[in-house]
Amino acid sequence: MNKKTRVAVAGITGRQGSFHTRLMLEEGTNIVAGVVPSKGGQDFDGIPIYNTMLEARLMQEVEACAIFVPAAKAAQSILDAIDAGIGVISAITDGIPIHDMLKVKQRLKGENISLIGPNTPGLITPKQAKLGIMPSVAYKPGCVGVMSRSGSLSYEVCHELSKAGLGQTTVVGVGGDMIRGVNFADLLPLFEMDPETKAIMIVGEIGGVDEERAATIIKKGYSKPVVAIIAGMSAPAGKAMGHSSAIIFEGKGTFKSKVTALQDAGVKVVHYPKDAVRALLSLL
Amino acid sequence: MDLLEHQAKEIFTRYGIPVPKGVVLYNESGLTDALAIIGVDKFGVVKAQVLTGGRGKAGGIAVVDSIQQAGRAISTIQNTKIRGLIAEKVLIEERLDIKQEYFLSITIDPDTSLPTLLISSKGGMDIEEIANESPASIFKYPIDPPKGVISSEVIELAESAGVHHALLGSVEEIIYNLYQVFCEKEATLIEINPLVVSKDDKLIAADARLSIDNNALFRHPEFDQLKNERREMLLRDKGIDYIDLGDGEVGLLCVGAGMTMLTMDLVAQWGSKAKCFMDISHGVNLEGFSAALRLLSSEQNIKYVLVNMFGGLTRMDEIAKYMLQAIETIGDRFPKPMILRLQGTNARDGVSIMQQAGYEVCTELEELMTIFKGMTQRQNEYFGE
Repeated sequence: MNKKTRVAVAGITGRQGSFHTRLMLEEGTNIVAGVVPSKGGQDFDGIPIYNTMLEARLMQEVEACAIFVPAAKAAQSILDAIDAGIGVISAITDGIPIHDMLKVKQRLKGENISLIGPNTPGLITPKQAKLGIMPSVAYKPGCVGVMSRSGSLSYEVCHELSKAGLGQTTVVGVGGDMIRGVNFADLLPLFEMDPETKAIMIVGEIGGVDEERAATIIKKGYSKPVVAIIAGMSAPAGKAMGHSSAIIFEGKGTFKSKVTALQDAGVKVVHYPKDAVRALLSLL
Repeated sequence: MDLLEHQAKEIFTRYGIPVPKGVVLYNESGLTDALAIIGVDKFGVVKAQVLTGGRGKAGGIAVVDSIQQAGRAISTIQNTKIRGLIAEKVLIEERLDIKQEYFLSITIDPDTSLPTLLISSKGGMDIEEIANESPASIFKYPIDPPKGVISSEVIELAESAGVHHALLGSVEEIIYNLYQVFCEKEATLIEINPLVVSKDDKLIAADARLSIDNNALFRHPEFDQLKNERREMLLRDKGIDYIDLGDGEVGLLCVGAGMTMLTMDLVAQWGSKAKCFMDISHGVNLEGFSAALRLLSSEQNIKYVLVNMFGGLTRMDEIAKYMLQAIETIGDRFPKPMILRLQGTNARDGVSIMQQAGYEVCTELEELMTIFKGMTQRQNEYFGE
């Protein structure tokens, strides 16, 4: 993702879509198309609108898209983007029914497409491109690759990093839903290949097995230092904490199991955002 | 949304899954009818209708022989806190002659993104206990949605799991029906534990668990009434994710689940405890804030209120305006000690609005800690603790 990447926004005329399209443009994002069924032929601040993602791709060579379509129709919008062959799909929408997402995952099988989210702040390469909703004030260009399960918590962590002069190469929110596209395990090799990224920051939380799987990969041998913060240390067992994936699943996914797995893989685990800064500075 | 046992069983019945004969009661009136429905020889088991596992151990289930005993059991159960919960109603059911207990469930495996059937012939305990005591008895079967449950495969699986030969067909039928419920009701979890094998070799779902995907409730009007009976679901409709954390003294109001969790952890580190988790991500409007602040001000156990927000989508000046408007609907001032930390989009404006109204507000976590510690200390000194 850089300032040349050609981006389309699905739902560009909606309340969130229009507000954040302007903020994405401010960040430097190269938005070349909007997609709104029945509004094809119109434009948004000079950006042409198409009825379908396929049309947008054919007319504007769209490479990536951000989806701001309301929950009830968002899965269909993701499916349309997959059918149109868009390589990176950032699904911002929150509240998509899980059974809809099961269908999306079926469709994704065998495709070389990165779905980010849903229920994610998206991804950002500071001052170059943003496919999402993160507050720009928290981000600076730099050398830390950040991946996170929670939007708000990643803002907090990146804000602390930026204040300490630790900018970011790319920040990716994998999303808070149980069924989602890319996971930490998919992103680790990408950050490893990226020459700009010198260290990785994992922003995790209780529930799911993403952190444990990341730990397995890192343990096999990873060439860059990794720091992790896990939210939910003081959570009572068995309560779903807002994110539907933050349900403790069959004994896996507890705070302890995540911390143990990550530490065992040589990851420095910290409890509070400030400590993340110290840990990264000591490793760089 | 989790359903109560009797609500799940009503759905099971409609899908042809056998459940014990039973009646729901709010108090002991109606016991005579219950006896007539259940039959004298099988009367009865009284079960607290609360949303928690381990009811038996917590005093939520009683076996009774007569109407008198049942009446006493109902009042005992309703006066006992079952894992912190009060049972408004009980389910009184026939007693089963148990030969064996199986375990069946379908849930979504986040690893494979597939609905997954779990079966064990060692039912009756929690799945965690089964997993601990006899992990080899649990058999897993990923369901490929377009194909559904393939009967030959499920029969083979049930056989490996140790299901009795004569019952393989009936188990397969129950699994098929469970999967129908799972798909049609858009469940995230459906479970029968135990699935009882009676002395006359009949299968019967002695307990039932069913969780419906909150995100899908908009297309299931059949659950509207249930939704309206739940405080957390009503708050959800206003855009607030609310979780009662049990004991604690701090009410949290944050944006984002991760942020709320971090704040909960910080409060614990600062020597206090959160009473409730409130993520207002989708309720950034007057209605949402009014509902949230009304709850925070009226919930007796909440002594302090901590607002911690880092806005991406949400703008802090809007937050501040809604907060003040919402407070006006309660009184002149928010009635409890409250501190705020506002950061992110339009934070500066938000901070100055709240400061002008006379509330303690900051932008950084360290400041929040200092103010929070000062506040709890002052209160403790004031109350002589």
